[in-house]
Amino acid sequence: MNWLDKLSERSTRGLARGSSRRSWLAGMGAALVGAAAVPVLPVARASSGGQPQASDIPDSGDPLSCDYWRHCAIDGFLCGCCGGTETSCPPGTEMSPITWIGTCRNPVDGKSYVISYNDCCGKTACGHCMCNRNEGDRPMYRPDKNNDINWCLGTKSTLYHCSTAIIIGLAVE
Amino acid sequence: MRVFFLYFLMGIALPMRAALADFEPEPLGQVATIPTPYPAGWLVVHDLAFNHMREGRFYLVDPDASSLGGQMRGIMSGDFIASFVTSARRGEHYVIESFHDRGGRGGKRTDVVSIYDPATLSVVGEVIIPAKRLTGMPNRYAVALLGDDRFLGIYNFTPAQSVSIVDLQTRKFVGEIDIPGCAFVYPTGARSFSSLCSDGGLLITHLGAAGIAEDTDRLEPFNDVVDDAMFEKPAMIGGVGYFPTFTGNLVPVDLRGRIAEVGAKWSLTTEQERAAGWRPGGAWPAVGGEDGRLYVLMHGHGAEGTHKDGGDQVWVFDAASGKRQQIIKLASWGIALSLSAGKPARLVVTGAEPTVDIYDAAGGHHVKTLAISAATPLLVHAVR
Amino acid sequence: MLTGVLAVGAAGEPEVPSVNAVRNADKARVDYMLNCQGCHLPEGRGIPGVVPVMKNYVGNFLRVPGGREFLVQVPGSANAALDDAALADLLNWVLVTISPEQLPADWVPYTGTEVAKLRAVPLREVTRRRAALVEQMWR
Repeated sequence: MNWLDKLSERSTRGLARGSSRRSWLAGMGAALVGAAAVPVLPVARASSGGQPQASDIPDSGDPLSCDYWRHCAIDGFLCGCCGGTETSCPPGTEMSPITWIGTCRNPVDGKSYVISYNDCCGKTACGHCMCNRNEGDRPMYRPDKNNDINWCLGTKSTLYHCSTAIIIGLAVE
Repeated sequence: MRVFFLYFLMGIALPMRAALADFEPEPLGQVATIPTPYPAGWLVVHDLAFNHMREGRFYLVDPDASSLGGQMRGIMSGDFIASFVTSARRGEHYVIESFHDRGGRGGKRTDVVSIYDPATLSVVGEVIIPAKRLTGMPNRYAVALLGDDRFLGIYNFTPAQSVSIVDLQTRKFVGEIDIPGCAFVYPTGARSFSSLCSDGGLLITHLGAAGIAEDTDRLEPFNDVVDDAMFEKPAMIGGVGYFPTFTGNLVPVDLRGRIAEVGAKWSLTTEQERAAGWRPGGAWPAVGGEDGRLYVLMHGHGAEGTHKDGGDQVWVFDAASGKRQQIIKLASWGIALSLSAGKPARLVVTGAEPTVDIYDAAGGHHVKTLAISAATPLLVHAVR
Repeated sequence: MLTGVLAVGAAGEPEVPSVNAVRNADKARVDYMLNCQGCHLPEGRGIPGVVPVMKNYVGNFLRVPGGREFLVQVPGSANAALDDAALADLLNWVLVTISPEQLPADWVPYTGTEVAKLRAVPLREVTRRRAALVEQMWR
């Protein structure tokens, strides 16, 4: 029963797709835009570590849906609906280096992946595809596990535009 | 014929001229004001307008009026998910907000305590504070009045954690107090505030007469931050904070003395209800009245991750004894609770549509849905 | 297990200790992501003036009295959702991976026992303590 999804639906009608949560259809975003100053998948260190390459991760589901597996703790507008993608910020925005990092379970391989929910900043609120799920979220006195904080910090502007969901690793027990 | 026509015209013109002479035009330039003190049941509905969060606003509402024209009494702006507190003692409202000097393009940010006259809803003063205040989903204790409303404490997150202190008497920023590892401003004792810490403990900061931090105390961890976290959103009844937890417990924290005291944790649910999945939740899950009644928003599908879902029932407890007195079944899904200060007490429920719904707090029946419309009315404040 | 050892330079340069200080490097790497990286950024790069920089820096704390304790007691460490052994391993991994050249040659890796003792004493004044330690580093 996700009320923030519903609040968003009222303002962006017509994109609903049949699903228990509201999900949104839109064209797939542009190609990944790399940026030196922002976190990217860590280069695998010499020797083991068992961290996957992004292209090897099995996937399923609609990345523009609140139900998408990576979105298990996202709070905000999906950047894929704002001109960006899961892993890239929309044009003219700045990816916040400071963020909170959680884990989500991939239903395809059953593994838990480490997800960095970096915000894109410096433009007015995107206003599309609002999602809020809270698996692993904790109150704000545990900021490292809270998705309600505006994470546009350490950026030129704290204006919140949208949120990404970047896989940065494989969770290890 | 001409003469007749002339007399005919005079017959029309003379009465018209006479009517015009009697007619009193309405004066230009009138501006409404609001009688103070407000009636006890009035509310300030915060529409933080998530899709347009730079343009949030606070609606002053008379919930007992029958239609929009009577309910809407005036509006204050609140930019970028502002905070709101009101001081009956000082006769002022405070909106703590952030402005970006290039608007939707960003630019330099300035954080301001905007001071409002409750009768005119005009800004009568402002205090510039460090542009560090926490922004994000709202919390009633991101900002708090301290020391008999002498000071305002504003929680900052950059991600360094601190509290800015404003002297409301002099309308000056006093200073910033570091509270590393801790968050929020829960008024405590005569001139102190408590903050919940990431280790599960509590930090208490004591202010001196001028608003500078003099001393701190610390309570050992009592909050299971991993498996049964206390919401950072308590009901406050007579200086005692009642904090629900994610799995359905309640932790009372007595904030009346200089050193806060944590009471025994008790369960909001029976074992069966817990097993069936009943848990508290929402953007603001609990409120309490001066009569000692604690209202908790409950949902039946509780699991990891449902703590913000809200609920379709409000369970009413006697706060002191922990005994449940009543279950209010809501007319529609609720996502946050507020409580008016009037008599009869009104429970205010932010509905999922969204709506702002008024319930009789004693009987639990739905009184009305407010006629005002708001995009994101998560927190409603009592004003008296 | 990380097996790389940073090269020892010419005579006179400090020898960098082996990363055998870390018991489970895979877990430490992920624990870093989940508990530290959100603010301190990948490789502890930090943001000067906003978030403390650890990369090529944090090892200096072990060169000044009180610095060793500080790294455990600072709230980000002490309050992390990690047991004492895991926190010790994470601290050792951070030191060895992102600040090996700043470590004293004879540094002793943290143990769970030491971490437990230090965590029990929370640090109340962090900004001033850090500033004082940094000042000592420059002496």
